[in-house]
Amino acid sequence: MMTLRAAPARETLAQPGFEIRPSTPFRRRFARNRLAVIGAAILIALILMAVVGPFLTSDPTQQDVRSRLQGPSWSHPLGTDELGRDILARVVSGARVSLTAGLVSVMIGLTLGTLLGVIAGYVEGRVGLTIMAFVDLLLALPAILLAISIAARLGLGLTSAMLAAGFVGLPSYARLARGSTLSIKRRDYIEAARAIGMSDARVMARHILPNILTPLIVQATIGVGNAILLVSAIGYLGLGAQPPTPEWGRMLSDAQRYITDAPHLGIFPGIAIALTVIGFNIAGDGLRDALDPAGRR
Amino acid sequence: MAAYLIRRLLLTIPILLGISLIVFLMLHTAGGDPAVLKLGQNATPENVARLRHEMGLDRPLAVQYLDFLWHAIQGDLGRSYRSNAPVLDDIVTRFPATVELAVAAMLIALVIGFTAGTIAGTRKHSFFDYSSTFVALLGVSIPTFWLGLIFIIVFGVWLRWLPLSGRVDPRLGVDPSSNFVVLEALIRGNWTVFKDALEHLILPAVTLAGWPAAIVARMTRASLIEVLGQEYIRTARAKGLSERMIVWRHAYRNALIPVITVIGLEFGALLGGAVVTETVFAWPGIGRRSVEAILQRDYQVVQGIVLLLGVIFVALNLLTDLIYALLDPRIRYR
Repeated sequence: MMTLRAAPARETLAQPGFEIRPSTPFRRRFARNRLAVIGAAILIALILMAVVGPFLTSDPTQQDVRSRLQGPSWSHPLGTDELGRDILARVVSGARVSLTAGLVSVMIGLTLGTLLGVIAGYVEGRVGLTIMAFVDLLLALPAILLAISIAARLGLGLTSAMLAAGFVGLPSYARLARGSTLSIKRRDYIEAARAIGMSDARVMARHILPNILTPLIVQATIGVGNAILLVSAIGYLGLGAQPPTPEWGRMLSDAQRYITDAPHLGIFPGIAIALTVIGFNIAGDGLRDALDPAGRR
Repeated sequence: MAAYLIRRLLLTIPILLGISLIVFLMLHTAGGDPAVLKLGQNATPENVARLRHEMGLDRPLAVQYLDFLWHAIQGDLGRSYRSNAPVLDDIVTRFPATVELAVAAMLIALVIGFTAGTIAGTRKHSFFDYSSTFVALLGVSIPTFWLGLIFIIVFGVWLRWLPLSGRVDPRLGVDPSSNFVVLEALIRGNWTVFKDALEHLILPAVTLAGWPAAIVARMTRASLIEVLGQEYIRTARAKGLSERMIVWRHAYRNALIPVITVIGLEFGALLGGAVVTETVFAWPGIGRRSVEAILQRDYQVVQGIVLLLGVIFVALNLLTDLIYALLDPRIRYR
């Protein structure tokens, strides 16, 4: 019995391309990819900025109307906005808002999507098809439209924007989880676990989930970048974070009103968003390549 | 092909029903009771109850959905809570502006995407390959609205080459929120309007083209590299055909099939993406209208626009599948 229960927890990873070969350590393969290392460096810098940054800069909501719309100077390295608030402080605090928003929305999409996908793959039949039909429906609307509809339904605010971005990402995780589950559910160790009377829920949680996690994590890394893009777009449209929250997208829509007088307002929050998304994209690509020696998706 | 066509058409019916259900459930009662929205916060409960009855809001939700569906099929998308004008009229007036922008953006994206993808794909690991891959990475990482903002700052504010926003100079006396301004001016030979409308179109179209151009370039490159590695290409090389001939006559034909799928999907996404670009450039299309409507809590309008765009998205997917089947006979016989 014991030999049967000792399922090879990480023996193979879902898709044939995702096998880890012990001969070339993952860390070295990731480190060899220069672009991926740059991506990881950007992300580490951003996380540092989000965690420590706000303690080093001034208060991002502190208004000073006498020094409004100033260009970069010694006391305000990136200038001030229409209410005299320090842009550097706002961009730095914005990292906290955007990173949190991106991570939370991916957690929502990843958790729900994986749950639905694993069940749909494991149960198949009518239940599985119904779940996937629901998931595919979310793909039947363009992402931004789905997002603004959800945001409209839930009311304006950062929470709605995060939920919206989460739901937009959900189908990709559900599809991936379902595909991986389908490909491993007939393996001997799964059959063995069922043969010894393990409940379906336990088989899914203990044996299927750990073995399909790797491609999902790769997808989630790239997903954080996309979620941040979407949350900032919702913020830009005025449907996301509301003032005075220093959210990058919202800062850009505020900046646009002063674009002829103070064009510098529209530069730094945008650079911040772009850098963050690039960081997640190339780190995610690197993660995928490092976990997948064949170099294919 | 006929059997495939019928099967594929039948398959869209449940999808359309699903979309209508999602849109209805999300937006029908979004932002509170429509009767209260219409009458204002100070309305008496009796008046609210009467209006709820008149609007049919006191019926079971399922009945309300069927009613909504029945009217939507006949082209009746309800009336705006604000102006009381039919939602469909609003959409019909503003839709051409969105189509004009989306088509212009798609053309730009195709020219850039194909050119970059082809050069990168035929010269793998060259300097151009690396730089175009990098630019494509930027294309999918830079937020659309920021790209638009940068274009406005550089070409509008600093260089003063192009207008900052809008669709046509108001002094020209053309209604900016209707019809195909560029196309109409071209047909009528009205060169002043044509030039002005074209100048207004350039920045939003290039902004909107960024994302699909990056996707098309990536896809063309990947697909071309895969096809060029196949044996029939080696045979063609062995026959002594020129590289140009091999790429254009032999490789392209197969390489473009997956790219076409992507183009179809991207065009649908483009119509959705217009929501952001239209807001940046104050472009009077339905995307900007939907955002305005959400901010005014005029959900009847939002519902109509999202439903229409959803239906178009499904239709485009269907069309893409059909073209795909036409180009690649293997799909039909599966």
